[in-house]
Amino acid sequence: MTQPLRVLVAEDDSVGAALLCGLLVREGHMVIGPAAMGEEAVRLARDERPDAVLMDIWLAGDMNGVEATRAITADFDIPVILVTGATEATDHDLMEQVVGSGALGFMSKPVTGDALRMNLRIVRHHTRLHARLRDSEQRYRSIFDNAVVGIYMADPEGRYLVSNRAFAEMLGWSGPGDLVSGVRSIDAQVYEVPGRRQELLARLRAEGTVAGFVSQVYGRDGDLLWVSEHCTAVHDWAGELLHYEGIVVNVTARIEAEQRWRTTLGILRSTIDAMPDHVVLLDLERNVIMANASWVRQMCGAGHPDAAPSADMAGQVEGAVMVRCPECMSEDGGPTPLDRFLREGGHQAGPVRLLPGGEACTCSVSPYRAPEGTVIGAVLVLRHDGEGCLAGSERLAARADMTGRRGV
Amino acid sequence: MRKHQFAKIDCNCTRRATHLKCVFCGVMEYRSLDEARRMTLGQAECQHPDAPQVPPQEKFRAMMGGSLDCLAPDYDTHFKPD
Repeated sequence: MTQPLRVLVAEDDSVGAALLCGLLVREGHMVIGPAAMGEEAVRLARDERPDAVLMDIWLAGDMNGVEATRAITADFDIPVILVTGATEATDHDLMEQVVGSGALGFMSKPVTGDALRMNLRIVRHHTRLHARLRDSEQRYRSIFDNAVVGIYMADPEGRYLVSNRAFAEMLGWSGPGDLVSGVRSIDAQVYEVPGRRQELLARLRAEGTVAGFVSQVYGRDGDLLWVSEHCTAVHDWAGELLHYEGIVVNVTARIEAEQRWRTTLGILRSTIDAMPDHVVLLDLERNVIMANASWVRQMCGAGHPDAAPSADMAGQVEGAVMVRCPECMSEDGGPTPLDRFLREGGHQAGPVRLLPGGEACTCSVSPYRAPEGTVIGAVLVLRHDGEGCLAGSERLAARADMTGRRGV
Repeated sequence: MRKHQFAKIDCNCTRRATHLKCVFCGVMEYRSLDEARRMTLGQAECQHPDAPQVPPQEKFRAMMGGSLDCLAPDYDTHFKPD
């Protein structure tokens, strides 16, 4: 048993109206009306919200059935079936209007039970499809509207067509409508670097999709923020570009944290590079993990490109090449401070001579620990003799110890 | 210390994680490619004598909280028949 429909009948002829109402009642449906005038039909549709409307084309009053159909379908989204005695042959212009009225079906008079039944089945099917479509649209609309990332659609000329609230608010606009109407040129108004959008479009033309495109953009208040875009070019069936779709994430906090981290790292590197002593971080197998510029100059020569900048050796020796700790020998011919450290641990210091060349240095070795406390390496400081990295008493003891010994 | 070099093997699985096999010792791991790129020292160690030595810098960084890249350079094709 199918659910009865609530059907509005709009018919100015009382005999025709009675016939339609009779047919509907016989089929088990509920009748609203009949309305004799177009205006009355529109009012009843607004007030009663029927499931369907059977609309005669010629009605009493100023509004005919086609105009009433147009109003009902546009404003209330109710399916309308037109009923008329006119045909294509008798009234060509009217039939042209019927096509564009938004009516779902068309029945010729006299209406038969079969024709009515068939048209109402179409109405039911249409209503079901429409409801499903509406639900689906609402679901996607909800995802679009409530997404925490910005989503937009832009035309190839550089204007936003659609945006969600998150994107509009990210750029400081009060809503998607404001953003769409306020941004006349994405290239000029949004991107900080001129030509940045053209760069994105060039990559889209070449690759179709671009992910993680990080740019600096202007908010509405003139603030600069960093965003990461994932963008896709959408084409029609013939390959013609229709528009671009983008997902935007505000990465300002991440980029600023990276900048702070780089600054801090730069300060640390400059500090260690400014030291005249050789400072070397070693693992427990005497491999150099990191060294300062002074040590790189000593090992590679002052003209070496690696001598000036970063002391981080990892980039230079990652992979096959291993840089070993500089060879040195103790002044007394015994174990060097590094040998003693590797054997006994703890802080070790003493005079050494760097090989080759025999440059006299004082060597200080300190343990280097992993975050959990295990010793995983050593920091070695080599200071040219006389400048002394040892404590005063240690330096005196070291010099006394070296007296009378033969240099290398 | 030597490290595994993992390559993909066909497993007909529908999950994103993949069966990976060390091209040297043959040990199997059910991991994603990204996990193979970020292994701990304990997970990464391979006893096979032909496995590559871990560069000292990479090992040092792993001990300081970093990770080891154990994906073979030809991970996608190594075990695929020609």
